[in-house]
Amino acid sequence: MTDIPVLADLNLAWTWPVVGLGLGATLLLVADLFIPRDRKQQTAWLALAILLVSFLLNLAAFPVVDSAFFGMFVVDPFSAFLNLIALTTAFISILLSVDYLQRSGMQRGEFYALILFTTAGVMLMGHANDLVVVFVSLELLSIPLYILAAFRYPDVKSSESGMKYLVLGAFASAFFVFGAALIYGATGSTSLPHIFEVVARGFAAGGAPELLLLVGTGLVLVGLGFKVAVVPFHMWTPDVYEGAPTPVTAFMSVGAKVGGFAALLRILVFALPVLSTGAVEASAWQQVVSLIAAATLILGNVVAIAQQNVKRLLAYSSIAHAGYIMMALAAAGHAGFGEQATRAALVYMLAYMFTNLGAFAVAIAIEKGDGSGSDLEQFVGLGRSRPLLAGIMAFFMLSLTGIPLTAGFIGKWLIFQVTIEAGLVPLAILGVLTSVVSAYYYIGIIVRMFLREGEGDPAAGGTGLVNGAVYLTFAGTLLPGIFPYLMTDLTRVVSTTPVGG
Amino acid sequence: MIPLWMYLLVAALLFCIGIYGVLARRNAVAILMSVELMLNAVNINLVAFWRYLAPQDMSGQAFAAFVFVIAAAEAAVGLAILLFVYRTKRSVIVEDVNLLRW
Amino acid sequence: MLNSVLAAFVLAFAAPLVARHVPRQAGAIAALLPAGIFVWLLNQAEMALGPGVMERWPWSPLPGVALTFRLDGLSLLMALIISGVGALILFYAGAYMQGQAQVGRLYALLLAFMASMLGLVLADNLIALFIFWELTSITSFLLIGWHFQEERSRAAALQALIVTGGGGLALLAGFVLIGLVGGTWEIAELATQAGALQDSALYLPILLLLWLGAASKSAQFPFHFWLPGAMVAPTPVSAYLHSATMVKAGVYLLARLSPALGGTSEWSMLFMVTGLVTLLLGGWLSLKQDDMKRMLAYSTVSSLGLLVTLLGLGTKLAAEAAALYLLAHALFKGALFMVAGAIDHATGTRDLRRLRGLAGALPTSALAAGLAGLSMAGLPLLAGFAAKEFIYEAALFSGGSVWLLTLLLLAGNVAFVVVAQQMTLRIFAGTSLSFESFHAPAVPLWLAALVPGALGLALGLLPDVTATLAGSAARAIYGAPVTIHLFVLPGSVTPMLLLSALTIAAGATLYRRRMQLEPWLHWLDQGARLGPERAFRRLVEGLPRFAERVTALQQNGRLRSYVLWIVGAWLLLLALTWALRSAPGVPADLLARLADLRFHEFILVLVILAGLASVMLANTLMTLIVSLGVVGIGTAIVFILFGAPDLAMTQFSIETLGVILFVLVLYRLPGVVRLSPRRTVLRDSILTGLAGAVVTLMILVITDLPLVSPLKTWFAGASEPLGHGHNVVNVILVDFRGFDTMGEITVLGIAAIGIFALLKLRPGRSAGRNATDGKGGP
Repeated sequence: MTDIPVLADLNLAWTWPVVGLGLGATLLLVADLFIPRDRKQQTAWLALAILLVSFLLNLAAFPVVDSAFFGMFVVDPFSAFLNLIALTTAFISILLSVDYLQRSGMQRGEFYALILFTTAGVMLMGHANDLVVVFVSLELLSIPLYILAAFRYPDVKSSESGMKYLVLGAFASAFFVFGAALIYGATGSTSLPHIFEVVARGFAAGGAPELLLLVGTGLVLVGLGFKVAVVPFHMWTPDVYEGAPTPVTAFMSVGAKVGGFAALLRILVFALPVLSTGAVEASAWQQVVSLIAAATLILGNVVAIAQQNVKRLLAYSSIAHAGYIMMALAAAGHAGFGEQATRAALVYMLAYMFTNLGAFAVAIAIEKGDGSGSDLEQFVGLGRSRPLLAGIMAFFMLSLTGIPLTAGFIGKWLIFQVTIEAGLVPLAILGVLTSVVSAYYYIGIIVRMFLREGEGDPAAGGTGLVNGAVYLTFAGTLLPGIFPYLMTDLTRVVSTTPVGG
Repeated sequence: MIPLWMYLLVAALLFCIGIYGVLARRNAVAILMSVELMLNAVNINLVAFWRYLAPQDMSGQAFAAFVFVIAAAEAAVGLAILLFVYRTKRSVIVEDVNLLRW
Repeated sequence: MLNSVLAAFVLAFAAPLVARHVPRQAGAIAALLPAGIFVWLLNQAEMALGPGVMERWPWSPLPGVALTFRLDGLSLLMALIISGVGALILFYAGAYMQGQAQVGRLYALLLAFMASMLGLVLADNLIALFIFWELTSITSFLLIGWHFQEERSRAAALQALIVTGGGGLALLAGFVLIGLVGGTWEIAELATQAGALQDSALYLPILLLLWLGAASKSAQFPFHFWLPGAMVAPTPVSAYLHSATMVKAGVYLLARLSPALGGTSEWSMLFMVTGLVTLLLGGWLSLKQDDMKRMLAYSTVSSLGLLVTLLGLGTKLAAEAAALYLLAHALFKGALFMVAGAIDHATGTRDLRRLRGLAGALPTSALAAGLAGLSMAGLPLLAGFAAKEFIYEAALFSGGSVWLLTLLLLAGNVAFVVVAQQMTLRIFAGTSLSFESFHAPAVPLWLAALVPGALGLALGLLPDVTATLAGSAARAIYGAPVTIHLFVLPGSVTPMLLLSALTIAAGATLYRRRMQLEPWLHWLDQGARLGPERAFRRLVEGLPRFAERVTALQQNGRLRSYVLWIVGAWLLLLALTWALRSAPGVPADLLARLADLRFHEFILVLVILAGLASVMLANTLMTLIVSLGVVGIGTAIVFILFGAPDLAMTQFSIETLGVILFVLVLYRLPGVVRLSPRRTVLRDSILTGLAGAVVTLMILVITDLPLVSPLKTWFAGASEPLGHGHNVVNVILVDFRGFDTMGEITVLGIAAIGIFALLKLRPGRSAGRNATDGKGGP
């Protein structure tokens, strides 16, 4: 009765970047057993090699459009682009971790395996073509991060960070999955292309969307809004960021966000673009997303001003940046702008990835072995003691602000452009205004480094690997700023048409 | 047969009681249990929808199976982290664990 | 043109090297670059004054954004000022900064600034212009904060950056709107879109954003305060950036965009009012100052106000007057700043009250100051004279409230005459004072000031050259052909000439009686304290305090209040959804439907509800766990009712495992559950009760809708059942869920690994004997 599928039916060919990464991580765990305790760096080298292989496989898969696992897994430029971001994030995070873990006495092989698993979760999120896969990858992304957040034992703050992340994360996951169940109930399918078709047909027939679908979408928005840390689901971010080991925070600030946005884009833009309440032009969720974006922009940027700890500051800044990506999502809710907005969001995430990881790399360089030293005052005089490091940090801050000739500017530009073209002019103006506010705290760091008299931190954490990460992210922020084609050409092939079914 | 809406109602109430538990409980273990309750609600929904709307397609059942297995994984990790917190802090009352703020 | 801008940027980096190897001549060597650009510009002049020179470099994938450069009369005039004054300033700085630390960096920054400024005036694409605009703000920030050891410098630098950089972002927003309406960012093409732009509903927002950008950069009221503050910078910087070039950027932008956006009553109103207020305020404040540089700074504010007024007026005569004044002002104000610097350098003070009779000690500086001062006062034979004539002519033929405008301009000009006398008669005439540390200035210190002073005279004596240069610039501003006729000396008595004479006479009188003005000025000073600078400071200082308050409000570290926020937001979202849809009524036959319930179903509901009740009320963890198990088993029975026994079996086993897990953990933890205080319980109950009520209502509404809509039937028919197995777990394992299962197994595996790692990390006690070990991955 049941046709038992053979391996060939699964169409694995283009899934290897993710599947290989998962397998690699599993093998890494086994390999780690044979690596002596005092040479755990070797696990890190192996992990980097696995990431590199996955990266190359993914490059080969770039222009491919295909589906695997009977349509539940989709390979398209959208997912390939997100994979690039996820893999680079993991690569840089591991570069930042090796010496950090050594210094703070938590050098363990599992750390690297967990990073690889959560990276696989982020990537799977981009590939997801079914609500079930979205849920599984959401958990694959989250559970290792809960553990990683609590990794610094017996530090009280770290365990508190893990606990808060876990309890709130599980709570938010419940919202997500309840919403997914309602969407399933409203459309009779968990497959995203099917949901798209059902809703599109209903809309074409002139029907309004069912309440069940709306409520379900709202619940999904709550669950994923938590993952990407937008107001009012953001409160965990500063607490968790501060308590978690800094390289983990660095990963979280990019990886978890990218994964969450991948799912939001897949569900809202790919599957539910025509969820309209009758006004033909805009999706039903556009208003809500715009409101969330506005609240996030205001709160994230204003509250960041008050922060005295660089990790908390970057936490609020990451909330604010989620607000900008949310702007793109709001623009995508306008009929005909889905594609352009998705591309803008992708470019923005790439730029944000390099810049934010760079800023964290510098923060790690000046952090002390016991986890202290993430106070903003540590930056005073850095321009004197480590001029190059301070100069690069200043550049990162300018990029986060969105000053021209940085990658951050290109990202912001694309997002503002699509927001305005989609008719959300007030939101775009708010975006510009909050960027001005953000200059206040970003430039505050520059002022501390260069314009205040101080001893100057020796930046003892700036080891070869960390410096390597700093230069890598610097190049990734500078070059696209000068040659924007580097980023935008990659997104040119991205399309938001649902694949398969 | 019971109409679908009753199952949905029970599920919704279960979900809300789970939320209540998360809100009202001060012990982190109890909060985790309340989250489990919310996931149970999801499962009732999923299976009810599957039965009433698309009984020939296994998606709903399969989804439910994934939900509870993942819920178990989450609970396991959660309990481990809570044990961790308990060891460092000698308490799992969430009110006591708020070093990280502002 | 790209080449010259790029060359300046690249060579800027070389300046510190030059300064290290030949510290004495470094300034002069660095001056060769702007001098070279100056010569190149002169070479291009014929083309530029005629059809203009265009260059286009596709640079960015952003549609409509390219590095387009255009050299026409206006940009030529600006570029000549930028490179010419730039060369003099670097030459001057070589002597002025002699022996100071890190002087190479100063040259580098000055060159980088010059490159940005050149880019700004040459760019023909608004976005490229914006980029250069922000670059000038940043270089200006670094240059104002040159003495960064001093708190005062840092504060002034930051203030200038926030005001000009923030204004720049507003400008960007304005540009984006312009692009949206006009369909292009190429300035040359925008002029043809004037009608579309001015009729658009976005015209006023565009103007206001433009106003924010231009007024903040060009120190117009109410943003004028940053410019006097910026005088903490070394004098070469003040002379270059804050009088001759950067502060003109706002004026330049208005001039550049006036063909596309100008000529309307909104434009005139906005910019004339701003300009006149700034003119008078700056003029008035300049009278009060005792510090030479601050006086010149306020006078610059006033001059910029004059230029903005002229651009707001927008007539052909006004365009001519603006072009002439732009040229004349750059020359005389630059010269006066350099004289002030030379005096400061020689005597160690800039205090006007302590300076007298310097003509004997500094004869060459006195000559430079004299020439510049005469031009500023608008005496015949000098460039300033022609400018003033045209200003009055523009006012007299403006067609509006002619006399009011003329009177206000007259008042502003009188203040210039007073400042000109302060900078010449007051300092250089009279009996000389002796200074302890007096030393004769080096040649560049006076020569660099003398050159623009003399140029002012030369331009006055060569009216044809001046007319060609300014006329071509005026053409770009006015947007139509313009020819200026100038004479060395006025041929006949005109109203303008009389007004000029009146200006000088009034200025001279006022200067002589300046002591009697003191109380008035003092009174004004009181008022100024309440001015925009104070507002700005309150804003800047208030922002962090506000931010702190908001943080403390929502980030209290308590997990439960975070949950509360999430739930609250969700409720809001539900309510919003509810409001979005007009809600159908609750079905009437609700109770009748309950009769459908079968006995065992009824019992099941009871069991679940009983479990729920005890979950809510349980006060020990053990009770809680047991109740949870009851609810779980109830759920499993639901599965059985639905004919999914396999799923139910899995649920049973997992539920049992869960209970065991919790119990095992309980073994390690204190078992008592502390309940919240009564008030909190009430709050939480109300909130969740609300959520429950909304959800219930919604579900009741949903039931009233056709349960299986046509869509669903279509879908059910269209979807081919993929798995035929009756045991869902089997289907999952062998069928199309294969991949997911792999994912799931991975999740579980990771959970196990994570738990293992966490528990193993425990220092001291032996790992592995913990209750949860091995139970991590059910």
